[in-house]
Amino acid sequence: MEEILVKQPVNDAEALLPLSPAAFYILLALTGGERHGYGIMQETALKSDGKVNLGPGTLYRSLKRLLMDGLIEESDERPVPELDDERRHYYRLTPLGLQVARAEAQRLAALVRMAQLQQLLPQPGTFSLEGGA
Amino acid sequence: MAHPPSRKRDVRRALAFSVWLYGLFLHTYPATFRRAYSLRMMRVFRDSCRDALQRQGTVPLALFWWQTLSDLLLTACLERWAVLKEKVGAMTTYTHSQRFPLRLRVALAATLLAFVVSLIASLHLYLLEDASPLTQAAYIASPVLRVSYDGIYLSALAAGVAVCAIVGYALLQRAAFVVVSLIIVALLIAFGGFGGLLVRHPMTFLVLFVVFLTLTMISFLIGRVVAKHAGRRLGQRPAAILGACVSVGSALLVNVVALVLHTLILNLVSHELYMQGQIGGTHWNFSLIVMVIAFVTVIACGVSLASMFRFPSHQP
Repeated sequence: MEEILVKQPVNDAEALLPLSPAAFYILLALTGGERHGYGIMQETALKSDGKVNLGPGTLYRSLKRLLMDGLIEESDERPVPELDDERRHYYRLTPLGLQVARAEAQRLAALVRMAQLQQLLPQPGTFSLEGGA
Repeated sequence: MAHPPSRKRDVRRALAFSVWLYGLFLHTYPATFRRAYSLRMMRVFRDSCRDALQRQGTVPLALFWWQTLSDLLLTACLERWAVLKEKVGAMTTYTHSQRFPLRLRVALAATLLAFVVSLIASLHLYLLEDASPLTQAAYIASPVLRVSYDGIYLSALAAGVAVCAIVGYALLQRAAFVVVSLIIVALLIAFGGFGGLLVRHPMTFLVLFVVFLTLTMISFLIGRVVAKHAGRRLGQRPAAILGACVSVGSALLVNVVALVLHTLILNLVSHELYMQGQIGGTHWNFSLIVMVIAFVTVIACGVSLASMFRFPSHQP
């Protein structure tokens, strides 16, 4: 008798954590709405004050992975159709993608809290003379 | 900010050249990834490059290219590694689950066992007859004895080539490489097996060489026909291995027929010589035992190979 193996769909956001920095930046960029590849690159550079520049290779490798995991999907909607190139591919967050982005943000926030407790970072609302906040 | 026309032209040229070059570099990615994303990546690259050129001019283009190329090389390596892992994973599943069924492994084991037993039987006969001063007299008394002896020797060598085919199909991906390797192996076996005759008895060498090649070719072709038919049910590689097993089996069939014939005639001749008082005893018992074991293992090999043809079709 043959055994039938069925791959269970991943519904648990925790199972997809931790995200790579590039993947998290992409999810963050898409929380504001649909964006095309170059739009994601620009948004990421903007949000990171120019510190993170996703190259096309990293961007599309991450997009491929996020599409496979069901965290994002391709969108047919165009924010400004008359100004846009119809050959561009737009991406948007799925509900699971939003859930995973939140879970990753909470994970990172917990890490930051731990760093604050260990006095690696200043406590919120305090002022440090050594630099930083 | 307005740019002079010559600078605009330079920027356009630099952009076109950069996009063309980036398109070439995209070939470092695996084909599946390229098919899905190369156009999108080129569009993103063009936009980024245009912005970089408009902001900074052509001079800092080297820095932009340095960042792009390091990203491209890193991600291309990662993507190729992922594809390789996927292929190895698929091959492992392919090897261990449906494609190499238990019956094929049993047939393979039975074939190798039959080959080893036949080889021992052939070597036994060679040592027995090579050392005996009565061999020539026995061959003159019965020409069939000589023919069957050569048949045993040559079919054992042909079976050796077919065993190399099993190893070749198991290790090499491309059938063409296996065929080329087998031609080299067959020539080495022929010259190693009876190459000495080339100097002393060139005609005998030629005859033996032709018979050896004919036997090897026939067994190989039988194997290929079987592999072609089994390919639909088993997949290409297991079918090729099964075909090589059948090649070994067909060469061993010739070997065991010649061995049975030879042993029986040899024992008649040696019995007659014994009765004439020319030899002290006969090697009746040991030769017969070896012959029977070789016969039984070849039958077992044949049965196990035949059972593969009753195997249900492979469900992809």
